[in-house]
Amino acid sequence: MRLIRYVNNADKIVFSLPVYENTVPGLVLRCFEAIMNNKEKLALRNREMLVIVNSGFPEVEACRGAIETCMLFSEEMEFDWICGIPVAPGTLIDGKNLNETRNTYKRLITLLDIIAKNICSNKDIIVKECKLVSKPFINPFIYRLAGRLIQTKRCNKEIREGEIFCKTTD
Amino acid sequence: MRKVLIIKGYSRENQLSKLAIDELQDIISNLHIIDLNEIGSKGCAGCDYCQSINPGICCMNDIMGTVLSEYLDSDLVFIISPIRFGCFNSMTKEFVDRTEPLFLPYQVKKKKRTVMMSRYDKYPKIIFVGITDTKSEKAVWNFRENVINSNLALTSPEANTIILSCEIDSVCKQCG
Repeated sequence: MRLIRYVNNADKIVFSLPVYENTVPGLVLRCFEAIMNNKEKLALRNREMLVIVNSGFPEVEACRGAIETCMLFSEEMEFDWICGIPVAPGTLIDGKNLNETRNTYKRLITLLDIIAKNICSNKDIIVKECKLVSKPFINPFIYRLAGRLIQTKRCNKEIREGEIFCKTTD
Repeated sequence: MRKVLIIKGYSRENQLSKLAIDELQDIISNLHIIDLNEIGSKGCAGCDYCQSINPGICCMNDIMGTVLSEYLDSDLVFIISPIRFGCFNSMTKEFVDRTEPLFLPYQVKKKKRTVMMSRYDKYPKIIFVGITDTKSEKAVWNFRENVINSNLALTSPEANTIILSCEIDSVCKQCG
């Protein structure tokens, strides 16, 4: 399987994933299970793991469950855990190049630059640098309020006013 | 009469899960079991269709619509899954991810956390049953934290977790 081949050849593995229902999405868990089930096929070598977790909620705490799940996976796989980078909220990136997000994600860009430089120069990634992203990128109250206004405006372009509250599962 | 639903998330037969379900069937008359193996639904595509295009309806035209109707129609739901890496197994998590249509695209604060706003007036009580074959306290703790702070749990009038140890099942080397 290609996935196992890539993991087998890697020294450092970076997972970048969203948060679904407070933790890792089912698709990523499927990937973890596939790697775990093929653990004996991996050559014995040191592998390091880093995760970037993107939450649609504004609290950094919202990423914690996903980061812990990834950490437990790395423990079972005997990968060396580097760190988990919470991006809370990541919604404002909205598919743009990070450099286009101006100052909103300046701390994240700084951290990713440091990590990339350290990987290229074969230096250890210093975990304390991750404190750059220990606070949300926007005030949670403002985010929730603005989000409601923007979401309503966006939805009203596609659907009839009020239909957003539709109650049906059929 | 209380309607009880069991969402069974084991991908292979597990003695402990079977015992638990058999016990529940003896006690509860109005019990329905959904085996996630049999419905074979795909995971959430994250497309936002159920929020901004056709609110409350998933873009994937599969059995999940019926499952979600049954979920809302129940008084009590058991979600049974092995604990993998401190979380559900992938099959159960894919089901949980597909419950997105049950919520509105608005965020509110509840119990000091941000959650999605409820779309419906009534949600069932939930019991998450995690079955583990390891003694990892960290994995069990993470499982509890993950499930109890999920949208499903926080919109439910009451949500609890039960952890069952798989030690009696000698077949269960790789639970799930």
